[in-house]
Amino acid sequence: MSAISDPTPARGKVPVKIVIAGGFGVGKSTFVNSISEIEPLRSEAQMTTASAQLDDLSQISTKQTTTVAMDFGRISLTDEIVLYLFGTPGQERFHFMWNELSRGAIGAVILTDTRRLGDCFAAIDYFEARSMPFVLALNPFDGQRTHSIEAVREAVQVSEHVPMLYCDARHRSDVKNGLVSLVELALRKERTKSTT
Amino acid sequence: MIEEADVGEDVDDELGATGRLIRPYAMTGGRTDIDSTISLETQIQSSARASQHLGAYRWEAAKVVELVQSPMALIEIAARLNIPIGVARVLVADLVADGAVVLHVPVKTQNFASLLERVLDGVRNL
Repeated sequence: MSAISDPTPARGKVPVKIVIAGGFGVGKSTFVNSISEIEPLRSEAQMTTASAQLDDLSQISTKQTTTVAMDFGRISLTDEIVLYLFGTPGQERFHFMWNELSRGAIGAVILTDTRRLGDCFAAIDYFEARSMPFVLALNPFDGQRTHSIEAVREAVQVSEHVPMLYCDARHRSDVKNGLVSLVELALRKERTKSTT
Repeated sequence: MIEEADVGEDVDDELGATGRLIRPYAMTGGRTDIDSTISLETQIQSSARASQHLGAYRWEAAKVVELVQSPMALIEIAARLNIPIGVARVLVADLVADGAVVLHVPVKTQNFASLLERVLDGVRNL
């Protein structure tokens, strides 16, 4: 009960969140795992019947719902701020989850496998359309930086204002750099907004 | 025997404590209504009055109260109890109505930029 020994303050912290998006198998869980202060947890949401009708569930004739899993981690940034990282399924059919995840979020780190660039298009479209800050983090599989940042920028056709960086999701310092880059961008955008 | 459990008959509480042997929304009486003020990251904490209610709760509601002695986000409650987020949301909304838990709703920050500055400092120091 001692205030000194209890690491968790009685008052709730201000929660902030960052979405970790990207295609299947691109390293979202690894990214969260590299920096979370808790063992990353997996949570489930069930698609409603309304959403399910938009989805192709023809293979699953007896089910009216399907379950989406997402990984998340937590980082206590200061005495008063706690950051949540949400690793979310990247396919368009999971957009119903993205709406909830991105509401009030600082922005998104879109993890990209340069061998499968197309997998990140859905996420780019989503965050561009909502004018939400996002950075592209190129996860160099097999340690290969086979594509230059500029070649990738050309290929995915994102504006020069979108920060891009190499980010080995297994390395904490790379993951940290990705988060710093995103928050810097969000802050720049916020300041521009308030001065215009 | 296994097929029987699959049919979705309402299984009693003592089975529920061992895991997902009951349909998730059976815990909420089938309700899926969403209180949209409780977001995934909303911080939830048990109140001083929680102990008055504890004896009357089914295991899952009691478990929530127990978990949130220190503030915890909705999504973390769902993950730790291995229940879908929608179910956790209904359980928490009921507990809020009873006064057994409280939501920490952060004061709407006047200045998002200053919050982001503090976040940036925090992230840089990781």
